Amino acid sequence: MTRIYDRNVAEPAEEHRASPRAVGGVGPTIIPDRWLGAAMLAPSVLVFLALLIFPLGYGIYTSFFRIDTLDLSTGGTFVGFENYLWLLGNEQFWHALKTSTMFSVVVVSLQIVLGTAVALLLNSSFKGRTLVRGLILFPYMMPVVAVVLVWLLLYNAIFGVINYLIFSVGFIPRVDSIAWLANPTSAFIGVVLVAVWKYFPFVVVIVLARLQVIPQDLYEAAKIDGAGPISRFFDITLRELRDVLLVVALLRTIFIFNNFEIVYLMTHGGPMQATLTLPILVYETALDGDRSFGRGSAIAVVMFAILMCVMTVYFRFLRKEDQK
Amino acid sequence: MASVKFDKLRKVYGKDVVAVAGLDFEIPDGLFVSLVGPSGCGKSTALRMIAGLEEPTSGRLIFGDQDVTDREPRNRDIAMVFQSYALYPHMTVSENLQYGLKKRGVSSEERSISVKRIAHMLHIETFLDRKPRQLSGGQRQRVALGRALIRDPEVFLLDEPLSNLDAKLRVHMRAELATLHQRLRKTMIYVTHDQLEAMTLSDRIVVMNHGVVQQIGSPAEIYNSPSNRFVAEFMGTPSMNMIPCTLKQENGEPRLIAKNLSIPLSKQVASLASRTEVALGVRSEDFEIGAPGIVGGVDARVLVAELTGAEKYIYLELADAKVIARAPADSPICAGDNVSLSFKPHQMHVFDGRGDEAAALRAA
Ligand SMILES: Nc1ncnc2c1ncn2[C@@H]1O[C@H](COP(=O)(O)OP(=O)(O)OP(=O)(O)O)[C@@H](O)[C@H]1O
Ligand SMILES: [Mg+2]
Repeated sequence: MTRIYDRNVAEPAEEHRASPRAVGGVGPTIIPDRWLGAAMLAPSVLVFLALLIFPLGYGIYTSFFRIDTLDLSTGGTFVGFENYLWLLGNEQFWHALKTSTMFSVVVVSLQIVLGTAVALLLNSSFKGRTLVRGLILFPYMMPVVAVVLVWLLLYNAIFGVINYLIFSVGFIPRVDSIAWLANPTSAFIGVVLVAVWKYFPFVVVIVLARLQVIPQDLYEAAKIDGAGPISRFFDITLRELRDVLLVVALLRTIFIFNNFEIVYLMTHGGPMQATLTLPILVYETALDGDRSFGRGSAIAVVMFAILMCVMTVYFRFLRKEDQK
Repeated sequence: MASVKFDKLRKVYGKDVVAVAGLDFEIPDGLFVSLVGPSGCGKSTALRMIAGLEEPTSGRLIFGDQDVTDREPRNRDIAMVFQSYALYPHMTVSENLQYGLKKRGVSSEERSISVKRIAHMLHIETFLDRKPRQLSGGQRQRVALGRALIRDPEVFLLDEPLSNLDAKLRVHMRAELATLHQRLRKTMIYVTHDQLEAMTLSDRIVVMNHGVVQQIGSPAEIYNSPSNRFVAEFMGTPSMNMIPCTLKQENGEPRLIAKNLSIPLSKQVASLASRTEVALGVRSEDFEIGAPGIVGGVDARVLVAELTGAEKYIYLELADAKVIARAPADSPICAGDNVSLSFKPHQMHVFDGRGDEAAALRAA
């Protein structure tokens, strides 16, 4: 007790008010404030290091080595930029980069258009709106494997529902005229549709939340100002949604650019590499075929760098727009 | 030419929320008219029906000689200032001002001339390139006014445009609005729950309660001859004092009696009363406070004396009722004093009953 009392007198009043230990006279074991702060931060810093920085650092590190994936413990041999040079000269890499870019752009654009359209519908009042709002999340909540299995059945050339429908309308001469996932173009479209379907509810939810906070009196002011429905949509709704759409587009791009499971489960990157995206190439290089972990890491690092560049440019652009 | 005529205009929300129970009057062209009443009495609803933002349940709305009940807001030649200003957040002040003109196909040269003119008039030239969020409340308020003025409409609708401003700015903008109306001489319909704003700005005041018009008249009429107890108590600060009385005949003369109070009433007024339970209404400035025992006065006890700056509010107990009287700021009266109150005979209001609807009894 005496000790605590002494400290209180010795220290400026400010500090002992801020420090929890001094208030109640907790007991003899006293941790100095600066250590207490560090101790409280430590768990989150450790988790952050373990979960984010370590894998990233390890990936970059291994990209400078030649390592067999089945023999990671040896550490491999240092090869400098060899893996990166291999990459630049590799036709498959450039093809996969092109496919990934196209896939991301098309999927994200469609998700945004579809998601916004559905959100606008759900924002208008109709009977059973709450129920539909709940149901719309359904694809988003389904496990990817289940989604893919269902769509594989739908796309099936012989007994799939999609072909059956197109056939019964009379667009194709025979039920099995389109082998959806066997033809390069239709396989790409097929995978795009599934990716759009699975993740557009994300856009719906966010856009809907934004729509609901657009002040109603803006529309009323615009009505009085003489703006028709189309002007009101572009000048108010879309303009108010702009910021949130830009962020959603960025999030979806990062996600879909890195997405492995949908494409791999549906097509394994085929047919004829029509759906070979970068994540699949990483997988094939590092874990399949070559088992070259270093090269796989190099591709992954390049993907990361590309996304970082896109994000940087994007945020620069956003900030400039904001200042206008 | 745009007078605004309400022809039994009524609005019912859902099945039974009667927001406006039937407006039936005409606002002559060029007047400044205030709709006042407590919160929820249907002022905004009435204004929104004029704007075309709310469809009336029944009745017609006529501007000048044209029935506009079924017209779109943009075809009504009106402009509206919203309580929240409703400025377009992503447009600059200048774009906000121009928007209505642009949507009406006015050329960009003409638009920029108009913007200059309005900006000059409202002293907002220096922030034409700013976004609304970079403006203070008062500046936003001006831009909102500017957006209404720029189109030069026949009828201006203002829904509590000053209620988001601080007291000082409100007084200032009130004066600016008054000047503006003097200059433009356009019909302005102004919604407020602040009776002082209504008193100072208006040519005519429409007092509403529960969706029903209580009285229409000039500020002086409304203040000096309120038609019922609701209007009497709503208009004026402090509120008109109400002393419950009984109407009795004494020696053949009608008198208002309450405890130690007994005031003669003219026979003419007394004959209008439909009951004996009446209320005597006296504004705080219509009392005279004197030394106790003065002839013709009524003894009362001072509860509190409150200095407001320019004058003192004296809270008194008079015949079981609590009343407020005004006294000069330097008056020595203080709590606990016994005084004598006398009434200015022509400034007394007698109400036929004790409820809000109790009509004022007045000799013709
Ligand atoms: N959209 C609506 N649906 C149902 N009832 C409504 C609606 N809008 C207003 N009301 C009701 O109509 C009545 C009048 O509302 P109004 O907004 O006209 O009041 P006000 O006089 O403008 O009040 P305030 O001074 O608070 O703005 C209120 O009782 C309100 O609850
Ligand atoms: Mg209102």
